[in-house]
Amino acid sequence: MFGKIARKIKVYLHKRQAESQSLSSGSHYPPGKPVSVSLTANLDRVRAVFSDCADIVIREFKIGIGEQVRAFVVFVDGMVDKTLLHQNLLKPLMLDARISIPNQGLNRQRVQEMIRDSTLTIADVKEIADFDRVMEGVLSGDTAVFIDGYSAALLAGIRGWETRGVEQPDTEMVVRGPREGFTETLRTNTSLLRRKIKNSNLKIETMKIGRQTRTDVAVAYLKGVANDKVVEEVRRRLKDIDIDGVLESGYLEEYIEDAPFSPFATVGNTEKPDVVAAKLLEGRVAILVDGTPFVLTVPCLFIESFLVAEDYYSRPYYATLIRWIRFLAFLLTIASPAAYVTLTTFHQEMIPTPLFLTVAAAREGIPFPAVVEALMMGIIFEILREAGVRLPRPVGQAISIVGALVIGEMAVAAGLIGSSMVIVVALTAIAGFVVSAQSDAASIIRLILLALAGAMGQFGIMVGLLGLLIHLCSLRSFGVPFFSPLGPLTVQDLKDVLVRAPWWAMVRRPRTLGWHNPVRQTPGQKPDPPADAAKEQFHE
Amino acid sequence: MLEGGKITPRQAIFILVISRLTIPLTALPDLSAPPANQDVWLAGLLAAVPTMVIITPPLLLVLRFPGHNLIQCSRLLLGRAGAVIGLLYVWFFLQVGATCLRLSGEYMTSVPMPETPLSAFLLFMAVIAASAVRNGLEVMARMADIIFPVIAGSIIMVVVLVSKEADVKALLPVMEEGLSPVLHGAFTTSSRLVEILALVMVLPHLNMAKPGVVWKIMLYTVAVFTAFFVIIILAVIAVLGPAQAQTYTFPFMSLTRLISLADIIERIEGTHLGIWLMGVFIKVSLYYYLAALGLSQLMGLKTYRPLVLPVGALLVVLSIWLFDSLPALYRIIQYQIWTPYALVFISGIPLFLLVVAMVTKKGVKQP
Amino acid sequence: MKYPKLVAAMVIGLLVLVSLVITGCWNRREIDTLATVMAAGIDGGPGGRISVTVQVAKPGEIKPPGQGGGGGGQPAVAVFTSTGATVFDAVRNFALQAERKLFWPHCKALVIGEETARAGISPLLDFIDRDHEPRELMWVLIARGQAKDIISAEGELEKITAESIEKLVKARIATSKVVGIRLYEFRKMLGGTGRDPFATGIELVGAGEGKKRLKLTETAVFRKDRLMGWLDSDETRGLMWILGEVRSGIIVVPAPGPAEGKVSLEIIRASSKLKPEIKDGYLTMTIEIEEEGNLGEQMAFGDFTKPELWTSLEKRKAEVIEREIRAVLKKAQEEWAVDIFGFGEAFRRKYPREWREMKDNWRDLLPTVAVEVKITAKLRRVGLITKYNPPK
Repeated sequence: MFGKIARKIKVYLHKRQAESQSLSSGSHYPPGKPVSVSLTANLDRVRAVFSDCADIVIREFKIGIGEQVRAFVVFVDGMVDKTLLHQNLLKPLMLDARISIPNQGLNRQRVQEMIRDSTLTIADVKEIADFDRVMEGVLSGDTAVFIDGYSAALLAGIRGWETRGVEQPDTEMVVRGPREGFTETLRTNTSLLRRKIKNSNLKIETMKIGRQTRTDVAVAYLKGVANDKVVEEVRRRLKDIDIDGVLESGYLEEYIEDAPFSPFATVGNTEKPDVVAAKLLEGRVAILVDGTPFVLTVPCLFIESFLVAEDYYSRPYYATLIRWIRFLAFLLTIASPAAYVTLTTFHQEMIPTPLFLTVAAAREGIPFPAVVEALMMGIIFEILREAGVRLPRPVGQAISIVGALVIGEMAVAAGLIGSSMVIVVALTAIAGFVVSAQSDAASIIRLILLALAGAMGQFGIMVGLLGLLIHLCSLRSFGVPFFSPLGPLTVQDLKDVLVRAPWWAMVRRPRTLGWHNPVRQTPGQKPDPPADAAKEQFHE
Repeated sequence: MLEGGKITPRQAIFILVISRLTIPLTALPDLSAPPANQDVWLAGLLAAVPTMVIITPPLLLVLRFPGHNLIQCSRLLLGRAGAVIGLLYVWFFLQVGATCLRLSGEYMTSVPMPETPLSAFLLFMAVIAASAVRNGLEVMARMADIIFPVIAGSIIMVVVLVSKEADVKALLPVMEEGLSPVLHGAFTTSSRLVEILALVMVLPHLNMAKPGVVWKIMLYTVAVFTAFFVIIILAVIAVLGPAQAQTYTFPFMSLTRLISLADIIERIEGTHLGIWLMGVFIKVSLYYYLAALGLSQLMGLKTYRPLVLPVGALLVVLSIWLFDSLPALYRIIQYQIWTPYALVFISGIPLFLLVVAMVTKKGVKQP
Repeated sequence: MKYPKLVAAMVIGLLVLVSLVITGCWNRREIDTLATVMAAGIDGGPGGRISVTVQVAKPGEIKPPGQGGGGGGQPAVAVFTSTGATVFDAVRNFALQAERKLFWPHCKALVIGEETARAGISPLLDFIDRDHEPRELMWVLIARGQAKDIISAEGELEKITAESIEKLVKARIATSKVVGIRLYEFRKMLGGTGRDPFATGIELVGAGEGKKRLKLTETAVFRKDRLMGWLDSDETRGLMWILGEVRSGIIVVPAPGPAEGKVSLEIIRASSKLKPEIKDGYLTMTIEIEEEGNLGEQMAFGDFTKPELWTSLEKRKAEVIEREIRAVLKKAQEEWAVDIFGFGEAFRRKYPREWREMKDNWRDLLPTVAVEVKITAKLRRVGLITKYNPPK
């Protein structure tokens, strides 16, 4: 039912978008007014465009000796590498040009050529005639050079601004594995990817999204591995976006996801280049957004939340064990308060007697019903967590002391909360951190299950779980069933779900994603230690 | 997602087996059907043979008309009269669905939650089934992919855990009353495989609906089901004793309650409740879907979706109205009533249609 | 357009759920509104009335929350007695005196008074079997005297008497001199053809200073569902030998050879096989018992590891076993004609056709069954000392 309504809303949004398309310039700029031949006219226009923009620098100067050509550069202060600007742009134009440009018979057209081809010692120089696109370039950090009598401007790519370095991401810590993380700069991010996959099949397409912000967005995929239909679908959905601004990839996520009302994210995100590279190699598509280190990957499967990069770098047995711990933790975090409430208020017969007596003793004299107790503790925990996340670190410690001592210890001592409930809530909270990718969905499911359990006991929990299963099975992410390879079951893919098979055994890419180029390595590469005779040689 | 959704042969097998297993998980009426002693498991094992016989007519019929299901076949063959037959089938699906729905509610009110009104369980179950039906066959098939391993694993776990209490001697003597009651039992057990009708209804949605594949699906369904059925019956008889087993309302549940290992692995009937609810959910959704699908085809609708709510309401009403009490429900699923009734739908009508098709030489001839 | 509708649907759904949670009192009962029945006793009352006694745990006294003591003085259980026309009626009448609702799933033991058991026990069990709360895993015990007294008794080491009873029953393997029967097993024996049930006997014995203590003593033997009589320890073990239920225990035999004194032989494992036979209309039952044990103690001097003494020990052990078996056979099979051994079942399994004619007059046939006992008793180990030398 929700799916259908969601689809209708989508269609409605689409229509509205089409109407507004004419008002704004979408992703593609219609050819605007060209750059004027007259420098003064250009100057006036630039001044008009950038009126009241304190960070715009316009520098007028003259080229050559004798018959001088007037020119000016425009750039945004702080977005340009000043050293490069001075050494490789202004100095050649203002000083070196005197030597290199012969001052007799100065053909204006030739001056442009000379400057472009043999004066500016900058790699990335574009000649653009469209005034709006020049302005856009300037706003993106390029430096525009306008030259008198020349109906195009030169855009020099000497961007340079303060950026955060490549650091280890806080959200995805690893013990073993690359420690670098994406940064806020799109170019750095694409280069991080390119450094992992040195292959021309790694395609990176860019586009601009956002009426006001004109944010650079890059779509990366591995040609021949990624499903072309998925890539095309990603392009289509991105192009359809008409939005004021894109400040984080989360903005785009909400426009391109398949199930906008689902608590589950059908678009994945990560901060680690090695994770994105691994996903590209499995046939997924990555969407990089300028200004955020979080890169989106599609199609996204439910099971990806349980797979961590480190699984693939450590030994298979332990990786498998930890993977099962994660499944268990997810179950615990969504169901343990509900299970506790069910067991203590509906199905006391299902608790073994010694445990029953202990729990009963702990609940003796507690004033609230177990559901209310669980709800209260759940909410208190969320408050504590939120407070802990937002506060500066030193204050955060105070929060944990208050939380642990006051809420935990004293509430139990005062007989407001049963001690077993505190344990259950603590377990729920800690287990929630294990599968952090699903922690927000888990909170919602936990609440629903708790309510159902409070109303109908185990029947309620089963109804809730079945509903959850229906929902999970009906979701799709860019055409791929969200809950695969579990539902629909793809037995071959379970080698990387229920266990983490050794690398040499994972000959094929996941069937659900990379089915049209399935083989990723030569089969039969299981290491074969030398026979005894050969071993002897080592000891010699 | 839509009716155009495809299901794979494995998913079909899973759905059919889950659906067939739900009744043995609770009511297990076969225990008091002949031979009604320790030989019931033998009857269950031998039932595979008559099963393969009685499912032949509907399969042959549908395979003559590729891309059509049972109701469409009957309309093709008989026109308006076919619509009446179609309506009969819709009624049958509704009845099976309503019976299982009611049984799920009766189970809940008999065992874990006697003070809760029956209608609350029926409503919740119907709503959740309606949501599955709306999402379509494909989603149900995917759920079966997940639910089947859970059910199968839990059954095996329960049987292993309870095996400590089992007394193998309770299974002796084999064929105490001779062969004929066993064969009779095999026959009555085979008539419970209503799921064949589900298969011939969803055949057009099947990936690779080649005759060979379809036969194989049926073969595997019968084999897998028989294996679990025999395991369940063996465990029930060996632990509870052949005479006592018949007196239990929900034998397998009572069996689960007997598990007690090391004072900690005990009181795990929650497992039974879980798998039974999952199984009955699949069964109710399946027949709910079939009824809605059949009705929409009879009414000439493009999609069954507008019918989901009305059929669901009908299902709930029927489940309350058809049976007065739990014993009344049990009386209907006892072999005396059920076997002839179900056989008319499983074999009788399809056989008639098949003969009509052969006489009028309609459809593709199968080798 | 649709958006407000969706929000409305969500809000309504949430409201329904919340109202269900708040008001859904159908089956919700907080754990502290329950009176947990740990053991129950059923006695007959005057005028055919049923009297039920229950022992209810007081969780607060068992494990006081927090560290602050509290428990100690107060008993951990409370005992209530209620009467009614039927068992269920009596159970419901508890509501008149117990402040909390009785909660049965943790009931460990069902004790039935001797008098009541003589009058027939199956009508009393129906409620326990039918109701969803009591579990069929509870132990069935027959009280010597009133069940009420057993239920009201205090345990010595365990705070809850029901736990004491359960532990006593579970410890039966150490001696094999008492039986342990769970409710479903009792029901199976009651309902099976060619089989009579038996159950554990329990009584209060004096423990000095006016104190009384629970003790498992004898085995109650039923004919159909009526209590026939009691088997003493040796007879009980005889029954266990036949059923193959002996797990451990001590067999005391006189020392072999020239030495004087007694030798304890520990049973390590034992199994039995019933082999029925019908020959020329005569019923024979061969009981084959294989036993294995260790030399556990010798209160006599000498080296019993010598082959001839070793064999004679084994032989003496076999004699004791046979004596125990014969004792129970004499009492149950010959005197009472009750089939607690499952001889009838064994015949039915082997001779289903003949059984059809036999089953109606099985009670008359049972005493005529000739029982042959074949015992293979072995000694395997001697412990840490091989022989015991007399002091010089």
